[in-house]
Amino acid sequence: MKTAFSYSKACYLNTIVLMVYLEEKTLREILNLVEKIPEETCGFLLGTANKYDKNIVTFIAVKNVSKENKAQRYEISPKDYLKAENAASENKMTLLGIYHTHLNWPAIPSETDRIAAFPNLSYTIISLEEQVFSDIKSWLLTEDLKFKEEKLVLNKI
Amino acid sequence: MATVFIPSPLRKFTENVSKIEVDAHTIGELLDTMSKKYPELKKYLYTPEGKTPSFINIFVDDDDIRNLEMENTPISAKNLISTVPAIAGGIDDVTFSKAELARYNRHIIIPEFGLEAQKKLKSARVLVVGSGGLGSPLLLYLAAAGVGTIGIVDFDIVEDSNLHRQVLFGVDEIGLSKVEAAKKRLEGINPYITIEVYNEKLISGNALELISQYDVIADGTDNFPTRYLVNDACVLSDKINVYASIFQFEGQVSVFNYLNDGVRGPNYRDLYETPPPAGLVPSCAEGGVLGVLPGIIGSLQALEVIKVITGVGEVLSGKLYTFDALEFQSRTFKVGRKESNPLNGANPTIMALIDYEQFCNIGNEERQVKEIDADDLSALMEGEEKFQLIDVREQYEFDLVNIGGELIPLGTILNHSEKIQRDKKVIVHCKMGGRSAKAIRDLEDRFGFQNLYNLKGGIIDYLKEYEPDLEAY
Repeated sequence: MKTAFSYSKACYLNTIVLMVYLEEKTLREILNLVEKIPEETCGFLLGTANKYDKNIVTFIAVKNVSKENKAQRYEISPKDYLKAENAASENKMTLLGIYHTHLNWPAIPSETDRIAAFPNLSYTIISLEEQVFSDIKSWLLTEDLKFKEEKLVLNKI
Repeated sequence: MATVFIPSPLRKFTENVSKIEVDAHTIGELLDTMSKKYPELKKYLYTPEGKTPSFINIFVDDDDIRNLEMENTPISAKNLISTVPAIAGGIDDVTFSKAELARYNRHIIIPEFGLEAQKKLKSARVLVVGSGGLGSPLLLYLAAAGVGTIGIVDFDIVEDSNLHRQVLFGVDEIGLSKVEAAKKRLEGINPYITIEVYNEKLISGNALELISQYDVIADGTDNFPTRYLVNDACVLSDKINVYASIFQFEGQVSVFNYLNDGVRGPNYRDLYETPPPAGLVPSCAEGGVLGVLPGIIGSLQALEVIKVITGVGEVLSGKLYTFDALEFQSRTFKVGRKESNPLNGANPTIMALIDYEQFCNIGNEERQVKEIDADDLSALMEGEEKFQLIDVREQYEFDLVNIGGELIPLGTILNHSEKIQRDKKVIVHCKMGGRSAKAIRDLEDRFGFQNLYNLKGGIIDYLKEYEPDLEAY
């Protein structure tokens, strides 16, 4: 964790912040696939991780197979899940999490998201307003089944 | 021995192994053996009723056991068994009951607002820091407007002297915790929303955790340490901070850290990078406030919270609104991002929350004065030692209640230094200890006094301990 000491007299508290790093280029690539689509879209985020930091290196877009209204629901087929796991291990990476879009809804997990969520995976939500990017946030389900926000940092390359 | 594939999120329970070998003839046996070997896995493999949970899919090679014989599906050493998390989600269908539609009708029929904005209010989560003068109208209007979840953090109790401005409370609530009293009142206004209360002080240790659970933060606090804490925590966690403050006859409102087209607007530190010297700006308790002012300013704050949530109208970002109640004049100043901002300027230096009490006291530490507390004063009064007691409050405060001190109001003290004795201990007091400390500093600086002691906690603390029958104010 980064710390700084600008105020020598101030004491710094150790607050654990979970960090997720994403390159702007990668985000742009994802947005090229998800903007202008009138349905929720989804995919996997692959990369490297240690105890506090996750580095998203690449992503795999998959089909939304929800049988309900796809503008408000997404579902990923178990076979796509297994393919993503295989791709991660073949490339010596970790399956860090899942991204999905919210249409005209904030980048905050809904109750629908929370009930369906699985622990130890990042749920990165991309909010689209009128099908154009407006916000991105990343979340992790805690042991008490609440979402905790991870600090998502966009890296410029 | 069948091979079982363990997905990434469950590997922390299997010592990071992705494939394990299990000796079993059916899926049921396999799950049983696995949860005995890795007890922490059990809650992901079974529901409390002992069924396979809906959030996990189990495959025998390419077939879901739901299409085979479920737990009784036979397996052999050739099979690859995969446990796969079910990944799904989406947005909530915000729906309204008939009663809710009737309740919010006057919102819904405004063309620019409508059902869409009302839905956004219902799905919003707002954290209100402080349920006092500003928090009262703010909470009343947010609850009435139908903000779906409102969090309130405050550690105070309701006191009689709050009621001239904190219209959330009545005489029946005096002595109760503010958050509990507020929750009850707000639920009485709107039974269709959820109120979450935190009867604690917002500090560096809990701020990020609390704030992370909400979309918008509304700061209605009355002190600089908490104001900087709320601001820094919001910037560090990318939350919007709707700010308001009041002093005597003047109020301010702004929206900080607002996200527009992917760019964050200015925050409190762009406006005031560092706090004023401690003691220069008194709190409401010390400096007073016209009761109706927080009513006006807190309502404007509620307005901005509602605009931020719904996206209706133009948000007060990059601008500071000020209202002067005496002149009835409002002005709006432009505020821009500053390169020197230590949070998100050109060279950020604050990456984590700091100790804000200390931060707001910086530059003031060497000016500490000698002090005694209420117990020491009582002992002096009982004892033989001679001492002088000076009261630096105003005449009207003195008339309300006094403990026999010699009245020399702070504003006149430097002109009456001859009245202050040098050959014995001199105890200086005011209402809470702020003004008397300033009086001592001024007297020491100007006239070199060395025998002055500040009464810690002022007359209020003393009355509480030793004269509980006298009315405090």
